[in-house]
Amino acid sequence: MTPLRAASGSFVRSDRWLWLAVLSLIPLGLVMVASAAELEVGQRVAPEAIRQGLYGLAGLAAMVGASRIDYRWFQTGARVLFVGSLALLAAVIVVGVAQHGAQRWLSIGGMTLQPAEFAKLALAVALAAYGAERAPRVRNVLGSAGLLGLTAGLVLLQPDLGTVIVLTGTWLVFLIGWGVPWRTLAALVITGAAVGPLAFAVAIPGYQRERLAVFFDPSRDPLGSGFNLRQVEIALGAAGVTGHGLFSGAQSHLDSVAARSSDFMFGFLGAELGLLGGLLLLTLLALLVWRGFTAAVHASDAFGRLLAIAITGIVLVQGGVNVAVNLRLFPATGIPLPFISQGGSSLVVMLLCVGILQSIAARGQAPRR
Amino acid sequence: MLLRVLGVIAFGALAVQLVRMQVLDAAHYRQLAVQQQVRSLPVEPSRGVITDRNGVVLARNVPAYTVEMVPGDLPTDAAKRIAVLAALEQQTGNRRESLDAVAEQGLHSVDPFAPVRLQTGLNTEQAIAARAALADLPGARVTASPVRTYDSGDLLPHILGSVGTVQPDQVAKLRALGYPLDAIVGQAGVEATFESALRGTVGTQLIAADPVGRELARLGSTSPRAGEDVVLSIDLGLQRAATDALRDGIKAGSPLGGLDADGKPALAAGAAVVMDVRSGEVRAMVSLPSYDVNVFARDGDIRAVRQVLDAPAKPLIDRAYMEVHAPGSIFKPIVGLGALQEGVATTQTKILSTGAITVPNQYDPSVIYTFRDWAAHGLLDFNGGISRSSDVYFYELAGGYQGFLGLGADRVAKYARAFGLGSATGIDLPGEATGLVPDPAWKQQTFGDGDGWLLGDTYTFGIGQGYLTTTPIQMAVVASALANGGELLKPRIVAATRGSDGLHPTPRVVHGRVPVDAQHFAEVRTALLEAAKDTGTAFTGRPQGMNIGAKTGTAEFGTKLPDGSYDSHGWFMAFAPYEQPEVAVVVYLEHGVGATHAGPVAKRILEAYFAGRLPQAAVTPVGTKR
Repeated sequence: MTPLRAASGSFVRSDRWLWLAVLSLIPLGLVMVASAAELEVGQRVAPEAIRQGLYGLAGLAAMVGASRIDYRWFQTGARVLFVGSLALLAAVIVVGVAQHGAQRWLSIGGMTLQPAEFAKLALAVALAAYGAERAPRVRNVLGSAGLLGLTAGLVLLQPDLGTVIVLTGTWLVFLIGWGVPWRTLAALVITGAAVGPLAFAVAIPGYQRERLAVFFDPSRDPLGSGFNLRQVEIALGAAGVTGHGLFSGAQSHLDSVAARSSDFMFGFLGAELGLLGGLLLLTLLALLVWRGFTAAVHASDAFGRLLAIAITGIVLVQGGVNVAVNLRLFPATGIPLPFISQGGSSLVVMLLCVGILQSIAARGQAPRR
Repeated sequence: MLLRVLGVIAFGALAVQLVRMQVLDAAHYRQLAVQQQVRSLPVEPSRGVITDRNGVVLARNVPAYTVEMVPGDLPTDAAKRIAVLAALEQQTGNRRESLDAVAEQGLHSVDPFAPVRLQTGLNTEQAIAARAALADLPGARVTASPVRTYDSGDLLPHILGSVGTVQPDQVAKLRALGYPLDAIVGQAGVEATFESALRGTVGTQLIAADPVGRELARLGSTSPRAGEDVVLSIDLGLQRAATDALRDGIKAGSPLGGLDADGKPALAAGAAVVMDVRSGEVRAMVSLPSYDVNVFARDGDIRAVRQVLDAPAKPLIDRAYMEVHAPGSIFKPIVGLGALQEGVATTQTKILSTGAITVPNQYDPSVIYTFRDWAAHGLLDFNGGISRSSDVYFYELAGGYQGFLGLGADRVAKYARAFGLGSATGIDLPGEATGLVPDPAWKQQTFGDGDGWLLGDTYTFGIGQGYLTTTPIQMAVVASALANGGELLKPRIVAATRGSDGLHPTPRVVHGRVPVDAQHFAEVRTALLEAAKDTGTAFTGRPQGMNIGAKTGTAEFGTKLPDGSYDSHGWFMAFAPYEQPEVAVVVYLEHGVGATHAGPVAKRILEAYFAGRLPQAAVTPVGTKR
């Protein structure tokens, strides 16, 4: 075992592939947000893009900061972080700001904060801290499910089904990384499949149910999400290998799709940049996920290993589901594309996650490239 | 490690689907994208109607029909095409050669499905005939669209206002609100101030169209939400009565021979306002000359529009709130109230009017200025000063004289402003004039060094002339405040809006309270009661069998007439009944004398308002309630 190194000097030992992936994703995201925005007369740069750029700078600072501090600080602070995140989620329900039929935002001094985004990271830290001290036995698996349930329950009240799916997916990735026996996992999945329809009938808000129905039959709601799905599908498919080009919103048919800069960001990117752009994005995300799991493999302790797995799980699930929705492989759920979609909280949290991965990688034990 | 592999498989699978869609199925999607362009078209909501307080419809929508040609739908076969064009020529009078040319020109060469409007403003019978004549002819059609119609004609055009196409300076604002550029929006009056309520919410029609823009299928729609109805506080019956009375008053007041002092035809103009002194609701508001508001709603009647726009009497200006004039003696109650409140005078203050006062020029005492009264009234107390409308009495209350200390210009201005003069009343109509309350600082600033503010300025200020200007609606607010004990009410033309969720009354708004003791209000009201009695100047405005408080005003203007007198504006201000005031009436005549011409107008308006209640009022003896 190599002893853990002091924080200083760890920067050079951090994972350069990870840096490459994330530093390519940020400008790509900014360009896409600018391209998706509607310009007012006399504007040269969309205010949305400027705001996103400022969030990007804040996120970069958070990422570099997190990469330089010892990730084990999170193990000590896991409880506080988790409880704090639950408190924020509860606050959203009580005093939050509602938009598009859901109450997801906290307004603080003119800025809006989306606590569900921070809850993803807080849950990852809590799961890692919980798993690091326990064996992956059935009892403990149920304990970890309790952590998930607390977070997901509050998020569902907003209601925000998309985040619940990401949280659940992250938990499943964590369980695999924790070493939960396949039989237990299979039992979980079967139980989920059995209970799922019931939960769908009881706990899922009406608009989400409708979205699911529209997924199977887009003509059901030609003006709403069905319209969006159909438009995204046609624009993406017709874009071909090289795409319609940046800032060509009107030709790519998506100027009437309001959520093109969030839920349908991948479709928008694919329409403007074509297959090449889409593959570039998938490659960058895959690289990031690969290096994230690699950091887990080389982590110097159990907490670091599980934290790297859970955090990478967030990126994997969130990115995968957003792309899958846009490729008509998954119902529209309202999940932003990591690093690319417009949204300050999401971007900052994603960059913070990469910073923590770097901290784990830098303090890992394996020989480095 | 397993997870790394899982992650790569997941993104790999997504990449495969991406390739499938963008490479293998690309042709299919391209065809879809070209074949089918989804367009979302706005569906205009129906505009709310405007009614009077009793539900009488004043503005509504009726269908008007248009004959259109759609070049893209015209037959390509030459013979059939000529047949259609011939039918259109027969129907609309446009020569077929020019129709053929239009079909190939400008916009229509780019968008052949943009309709060309050939004949507009058809009524239902004409439309039926046109439809019969053009039946089964591709490229020719008759469409219906709503046109605003005002059944009240020229009774309240200024209040209703008009609707029209978007003006260049409105484009930015209206586009931000989601209006299409060919929208019809409120351009004046209530149609403009209540535009957002009247308009409703636009719906959407989603259509699939082929590459040239032909509609292939309707994909769905959201229904528009109809605009809210607007209920005016105006009573159309009272409005009609007030209009008739005012028209007669204008005729009576116009100078002999109908000519001004400078020989031009005299302006036959005037205004009347009836306002509820308890709520601020405006029950009638007339401005003459008037015009038929439908002129602006009708399509293409340019000559009629020009006639209204170019008329020398400027009928578009609402004399009740857009134009300012010196109020003359109806301003005196404000000066009197200020004098009582400031202790300058009491109801017992006696002043002798010998017909004029004289003051020497303050720089050159050899120059003597004379300030005339309209009669030599003798010794008057406060009630006498107001009821006889003595100018000398108010010269002295305002400016002082020979040892008697007056209010001074600043304090007169203070009370004028306390009654809301010099600022907008906030009436819910566009383009309100504010008038001017002068004071020494204002004069210094406006005229520079000169003589500054003179004692004579204070004198003329005290009788409501000189630089002071007001609108009739401001004076109606003043009359209401005198009647209700000092509440400055915001006048309201709109009593409520009515949506699908019920009636939304507009709120009663009080702009402020005049800082004068209730006792002094009572004293001034007593003087105004006196003025409306047979010995007072305002008796001409009192209906039989009712006590009212009233004041006349005759404000001189212009150049001296050959007989040495001046032309004058006639004013009358009243509240009634005196015991339990309900309404205030203000009458303004461009030409006339307050008592002789404006008073009778007010009397007829009050008789109309209290119709059916007057006999009962007649049995109430004077003073039983006090």
